[in-house]
Amino acid sequence: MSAIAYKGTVHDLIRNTPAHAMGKEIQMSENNSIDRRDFLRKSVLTGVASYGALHEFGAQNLFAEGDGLPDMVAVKNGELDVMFDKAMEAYGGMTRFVKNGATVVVKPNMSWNRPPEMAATTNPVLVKKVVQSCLEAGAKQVYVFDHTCADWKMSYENSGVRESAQQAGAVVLPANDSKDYVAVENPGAQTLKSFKVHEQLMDADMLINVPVLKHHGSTGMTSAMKNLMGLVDDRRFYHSNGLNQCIAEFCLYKKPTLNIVDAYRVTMSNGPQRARPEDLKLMKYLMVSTDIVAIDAASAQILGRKPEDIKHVQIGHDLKIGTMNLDALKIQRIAL
Amino acid sequence: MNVLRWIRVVAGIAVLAAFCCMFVLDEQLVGDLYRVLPGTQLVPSLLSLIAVSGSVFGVSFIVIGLATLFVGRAYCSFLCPLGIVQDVLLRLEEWLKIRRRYAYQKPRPVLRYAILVIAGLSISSGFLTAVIWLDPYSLFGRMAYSLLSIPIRYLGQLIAPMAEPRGILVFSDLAKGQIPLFALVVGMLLLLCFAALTLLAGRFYCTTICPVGTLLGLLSRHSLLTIRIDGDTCVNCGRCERVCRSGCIDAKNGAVDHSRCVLCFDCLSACPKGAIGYRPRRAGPSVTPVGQRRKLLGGGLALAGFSIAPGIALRYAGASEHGHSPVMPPGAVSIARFKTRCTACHLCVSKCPTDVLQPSLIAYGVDGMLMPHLDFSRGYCEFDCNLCSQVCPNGAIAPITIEQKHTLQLGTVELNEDLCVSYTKNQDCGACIEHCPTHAIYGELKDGVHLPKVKPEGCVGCGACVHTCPEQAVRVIANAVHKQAEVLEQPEPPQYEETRKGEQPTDEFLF
Repeated sequence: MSAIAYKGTVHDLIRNTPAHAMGKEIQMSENNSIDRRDFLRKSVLTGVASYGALHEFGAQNLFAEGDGLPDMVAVKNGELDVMFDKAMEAYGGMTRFVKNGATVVVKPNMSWNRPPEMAATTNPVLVKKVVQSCLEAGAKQVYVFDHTCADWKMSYENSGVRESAQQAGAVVLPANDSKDYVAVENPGAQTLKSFKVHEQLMDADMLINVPVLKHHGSTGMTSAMKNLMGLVDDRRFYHSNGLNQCIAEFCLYKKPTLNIVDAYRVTMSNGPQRARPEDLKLMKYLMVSTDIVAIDAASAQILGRKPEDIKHVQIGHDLKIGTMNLDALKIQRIAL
Repeated sequence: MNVLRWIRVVAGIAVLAAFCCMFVLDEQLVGDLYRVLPGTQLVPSLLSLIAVSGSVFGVSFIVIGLATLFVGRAYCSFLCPLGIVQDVLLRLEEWLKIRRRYAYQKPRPVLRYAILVIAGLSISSGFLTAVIWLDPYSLFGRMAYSLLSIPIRYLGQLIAPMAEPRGILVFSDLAKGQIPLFALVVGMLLLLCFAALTLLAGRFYCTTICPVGTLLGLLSRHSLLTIRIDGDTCVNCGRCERVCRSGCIDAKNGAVDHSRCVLCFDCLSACPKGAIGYRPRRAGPSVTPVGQRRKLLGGGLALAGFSIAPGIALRYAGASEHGHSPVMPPGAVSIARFKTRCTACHLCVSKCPTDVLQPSLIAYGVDGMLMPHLDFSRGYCEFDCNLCSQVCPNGAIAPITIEQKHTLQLGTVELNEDLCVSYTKNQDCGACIEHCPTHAIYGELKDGVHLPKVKPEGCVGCGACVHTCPEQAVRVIANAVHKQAEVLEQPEPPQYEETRKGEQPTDEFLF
């Protein structure tokens, strides 16, 4: 049977109410017997740190509603749809993010002409769940698109994402034509100062990022931050002007309201698209977080890398887009 | 209106529409028309009879020949898209009131048979320049591809915004990207030529220039059913001659040149007396006296010899001029073979999903003008696609399977490190690495940067790297003869601490 195991501080445990544990048995691990002084010190530090973080990263609404909720929920050992439900339950439900009448862009990775079982693209089952969940939470319209690397019609079809997103009720749009993009400024950036984003992103109330975790031949890893390249018209600019810098700086322009990482079947080598079956590993993880840097830091560790080894994660951390220091965060870990 | 004429008009419109759809619309909208339609065309059928063993298309060459022996040149008005285009032009000219009345045209046997002999030699010698510029199907294809794409693109742009919210994506990207200017010019010039020719002389192209028409004319001359004038009923009013778009009715002598009659059936409804009819043959006069035939053939052969000689010279001159060859579509096998099969009908170009197949100007030499090549500035050749080899009606792009394609080497990659940002700026780019389907370009981590390295022996020449490279640092050197790419040994994936597929998972988290 499933159990919820905590690896965080005692403070995290205490703050987590049974309501968020959803009636599941809470197990305390043995190493949580910390003395009182240590407990107090950690409580204060974490409290200050999380207040500061929330304030600084513009997530005040989280603070108001999400007080007591974890910063990240990681689930493992389940099927994607089950893990998604568990994760969202623990994270306060989709209604915490998607308000009635909202227009939502769900951005999966469907960039390659590869079948779902090769996991070069986000699993269609997960995309379907996310879209359904947004609509159930009251979203007026959910748009799904990706500026694909391979031919878009083939990628949309053969990844299975187009079909599953449409079945769930999303509007799937093409995104490989420059005329669908509008120029925007990114004043905080050094390199990616101005670029063009998909017009639908401009009109939407929020962005929900649903990447698949993979090894990547040029950035080491592709997960949440890298996935946002599919919202931009000119990827060549990224490649010739500092790929990692641009990937991180996009988040200065727009940070997803929620990131949901599909790390079920993970390309461990020869990524991002032509991995052989032996390059894949069944990891069965799913993470949700509002912190895109933190979720990428967790992703890196699933790939067996340190967060700081992935340059765009380090840059994202330095730009204070989020934190890659997972110890400073409250992470709820659910092993099914 | 005569029933036969009515059938001809309806069938013509349907066939023309089908051919147009095949060239410009997505298979999702119109189905796999390419599996059937080009097979009805004589030149593709003949070429595929030669090129492809067990070709289904090849059968129609024989069927059309036999059918023509029975019913005459119905092919030219019912099945040939270029013939029907001319009928449409004639109708337009009639509506615009700029068309003159037709009159009997003297046969031009020397010209006709010379062209036929040239076309025949062209196919048998494998020097297809003449066929590229004479085959009605290929001429039509070129016009359809280049001229229809523009209105179709606007149509797509009009419909797509309404269709996309309803979950229909087939209208997005309905038309090809920009048509190369020279292809557009060729299409327009061809249309202008046909407009002028029809205005001046009706279906002169079909009666005198088209080698397919002349070939079928040799059979229809002896066909069972023909247009015949009943001398007893005929009052010599000449109305039939004045409506004959082929100029093959000599009303004064009551004779019809069956080798040129394309069976438009206009004369049947024009005759006030019902003297003209589509009837089984009885003995009757033939316009070309039999005695002249040998002379004509001799003249034709001589003319053919004269006209083909400079062509051959040009070809070899062209071959030596072009040191590097164009990148050919998968299935073309070799330049030498490809040039003996491709008639530049542009069907593969119009069907290529990534737009990488484009008509070339003179990449194959002046004699192979407009033949398709892979233009990586426009797209890349998708690893899991073999559509061009499926659609090619001539077997010029031989049918290959996806598995065969995975190791088919169209060319090999060459990396210019002086242009590559990973080398010049010492920063990660890796666009080529991530797009390469065979890992013939791979990243080697040096000082924290993934430097692209190449193993050309494993390259299939798909051009994904060329298309995506922001700095034009990679190119594909074409193989003049396609080769087998090596399946690259890839480094063993790292051994993971975590469980392998099928083993019991742990509850421990990696972070």
